[in-house]
Amino acid sequence: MRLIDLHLPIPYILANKNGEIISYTSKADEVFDLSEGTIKSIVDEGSISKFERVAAIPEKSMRFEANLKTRSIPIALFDIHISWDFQGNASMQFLYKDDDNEPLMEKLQALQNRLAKTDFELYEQKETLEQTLQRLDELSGPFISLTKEICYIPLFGDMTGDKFTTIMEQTLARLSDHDYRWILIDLTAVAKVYNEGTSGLEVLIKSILLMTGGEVRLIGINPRLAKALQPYQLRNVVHTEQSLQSFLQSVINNHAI
Amino acid sequence: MTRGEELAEILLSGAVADAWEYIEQFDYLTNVEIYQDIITPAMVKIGLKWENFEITVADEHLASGVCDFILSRLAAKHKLKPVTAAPTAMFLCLSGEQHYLGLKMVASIFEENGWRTKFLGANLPVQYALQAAKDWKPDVIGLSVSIATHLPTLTEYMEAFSYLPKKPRVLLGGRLTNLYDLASFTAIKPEIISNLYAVDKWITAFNTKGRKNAIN
Repeated sequence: MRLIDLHLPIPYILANKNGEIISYTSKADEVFDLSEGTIKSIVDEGSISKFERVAAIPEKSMRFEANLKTRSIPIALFDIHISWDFQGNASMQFLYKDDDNEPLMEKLQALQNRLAKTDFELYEQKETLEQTLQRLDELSGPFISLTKEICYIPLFGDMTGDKFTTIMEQTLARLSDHDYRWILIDLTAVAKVYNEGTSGLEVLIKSILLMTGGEVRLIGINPRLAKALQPYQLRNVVHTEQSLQSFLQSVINNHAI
Repeated sequence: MTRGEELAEILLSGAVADAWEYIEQFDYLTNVEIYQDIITPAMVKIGLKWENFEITVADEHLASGVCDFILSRLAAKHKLKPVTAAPTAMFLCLSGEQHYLGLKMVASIFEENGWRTKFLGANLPVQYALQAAKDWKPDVIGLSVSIATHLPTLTEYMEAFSYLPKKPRVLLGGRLTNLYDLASFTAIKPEIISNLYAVDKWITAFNTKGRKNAIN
């Protein structure tokens, strides 16, 4: 075993396939206790099998992780780059790795601390509540087929973005089965209007128009809704009706249903 | 693929919701069965994958984080509200020992049996462990060690606990229990727990013998 005069920034060791060290750099001696003259003496017990397997396929150059014993740390994670020469000796360079994992470890520690403080009873209740809200959203825009030509979607409660995402899914599924001439969206029972809700309504209307050849009619727009919907210029794509009654009356008058 | 292998894949993908969904389908099993027959094999499989050059330590950390979440939810599902007179147990990993998931499962089994527990987690130096034991006077102290390098410190812990005015029963578990004769490492012998079914049995025996009897 001899010290070679090569000033590499990371440890370098040359060993034969039995793991006996042939030569090493001063950096290797600085990091590891090489007094036993074998690679095995610097490898943590849990990583010995990895070295044995690497030695069993000596033709292959590779990089692998292993835990090593350094002069200062009993178990330290390294990336080991290994290549073999024609005599079957292994050149190895050792790159210390724990610093790279440090940020990940810190994040996991934070997660662990948060987990320890989490009240899972509350967490489960929150999940149940979320499912209930989702169900409420589904029920807040029922799809009602009035005649072969007319379908009616009354909306209830606050207009939120989530609600329209849910309603859109069920509405488009129902519309795909059937060609309606008039699709009535009734906003009479709408309470609060949120920005995501109004843009959700716009997306719903435009999706319906894209999917069907029908006409969308908005019913029951009060002054507050009119103001909220004004920026979307829905006038160009939909007609409005004061009430369901007035729409049905005009249809009856024109078509004598 | 075995259940453990299936769970290992999900844990390594980092998908917390998928992992919980996977575990929830086994709600007909007890937590002890889920811990020993699904989660433990999954974590063993992940260790083997590292040994087999398939994954890195960073992948292992991610999988452990997801597994920790699953364990916390499972533990909360069956936790009993302990009565004031319930026996007490505290759990800790030896200094330097980062593998705490097994011990967390053990603590959860004690909680399911109505014990009051304190889980002090990974890497707890002996002086803190001793202080906690002095303050809390537990009936049982559960220790975990998975890396052979940490074994010599076991003696320090055992000796420290032997000076406590109220002598606790000391249980020792972890990966090494199946590989070494751990009791030979220390003059004061801990009771070796080799798997999670053994924890359940130990608690039953403790309850049967009666608390007073078991402590002496």
